[in-house]
Amino acid sequence: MYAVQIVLFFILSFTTFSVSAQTETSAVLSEAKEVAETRNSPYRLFISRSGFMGKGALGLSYEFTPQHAADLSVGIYDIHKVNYYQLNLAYRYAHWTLNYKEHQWRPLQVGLFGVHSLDYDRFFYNSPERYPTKDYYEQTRFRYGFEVGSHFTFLCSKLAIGYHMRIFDTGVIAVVNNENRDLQYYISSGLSLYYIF
Amino acid sequence: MKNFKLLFTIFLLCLAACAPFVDSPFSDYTLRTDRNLNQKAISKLSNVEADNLIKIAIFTDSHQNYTGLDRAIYEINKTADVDFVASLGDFTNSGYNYEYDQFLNIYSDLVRPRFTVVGNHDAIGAGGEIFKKIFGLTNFYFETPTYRFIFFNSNNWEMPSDFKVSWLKNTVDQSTKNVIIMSHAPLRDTERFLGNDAATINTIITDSKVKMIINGHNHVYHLLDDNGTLSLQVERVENNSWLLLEIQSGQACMTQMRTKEQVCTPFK
Repeated sequence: MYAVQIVLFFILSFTTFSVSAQTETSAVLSEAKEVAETRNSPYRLFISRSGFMGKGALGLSYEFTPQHAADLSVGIYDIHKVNYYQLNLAYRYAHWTLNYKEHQWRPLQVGLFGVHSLDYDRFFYNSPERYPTKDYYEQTRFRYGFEVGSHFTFLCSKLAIGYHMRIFDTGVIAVVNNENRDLQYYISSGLSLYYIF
Repeated sequence: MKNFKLLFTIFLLCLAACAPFVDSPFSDYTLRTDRNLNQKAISKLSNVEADNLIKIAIFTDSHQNYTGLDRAIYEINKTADVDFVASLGDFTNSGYNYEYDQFLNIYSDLVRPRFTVVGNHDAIGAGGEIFKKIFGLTNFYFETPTYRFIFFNSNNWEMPSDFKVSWLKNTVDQSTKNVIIMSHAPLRDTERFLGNDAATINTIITDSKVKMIINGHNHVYHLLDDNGTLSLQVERVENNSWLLLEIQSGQACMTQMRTKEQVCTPFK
């Protein structure tokens, strides 16, 4: 499954590259103006996969400035083939922006993210009433963590792709408490496809 | 342009290879594809009691202590003639899928047949479903020539539909052999087990066939005589804390491997 997703990502990147290259060669003045206006638009609609955000997620991204952006999405996951939903929020910062012709690459984004399950039967903030105390368990409904990633915007085609690698707070604690441990399962890759509107 | 495209694509490939794709911490999806592990372990048992000795390695409550768990499993693997290994649960903190994956990554290093009971922490969230997918039944037993080993799901609050005291009683009643019961929470847990459950459990523990009950959950070692039945509580995995149980000729010898202290007690 891991290898399949890498291959799919490779195909998606190369295809998007090819599409944007064709658009670039046939650009006219009106298209250049549209590109300039698009570049200024802070709004993006996106879909994403994995990265702890759900097997699929749909959301809205807002770029406050070229360095600062926030994503809000609803993700879907399943337990025993029944679907449930989660709310996802991410903030990311990109110190560097590289412009290449009509494209824009943020090679390194760092940020914070949080995921919140909407399944209130299974996941909780306070332990349910059947337990002797409210803090019998730590809360399980919300998890947060850190992410690093990269983001490439094909401004001609109004598309962007992003890759993010995320680790939870519990993963950071495990790393600190277990030196020299392979903790690959605490980290997840995620892919996103953005449309600028 | 071409070089830039190639460079960027290679860069993305390298990034994408850094970590697996996990959908959500709340789902029952696991990266590990292990399935039905308890049942598979039963089929791997061989010649237990052939030398008139049953040697069992027991560890419990590793939670996120992967270094301690790693070390305990390394030591267990080095120990000669272990017939099987029992993990008494609480190998996660919150039953998340990635916690199961991380535990299995280490657990799979065990070379002997290994059995796991579900702990209360493993059963919250989607943990109950994940446990059943990976390990199979939460209540099961197997037999050697003279013993019936019962693994019991003690999580009445977390998995109420799988908490079956009546199953435990029937399994004890129907046994023609000596019985040893393993569970995560102690069967005498006065917070969890009340009323009819407590009364039935008392009947089970005092049954003449039941020689020993073993649990984790409370993180400290404890051994006492419960109406003639040996009640053993195993210390949590930390600093090579695991326990070697040797059963021979109606006697149990328990060695705490962290301190090397050994206690031998005859069964009732």
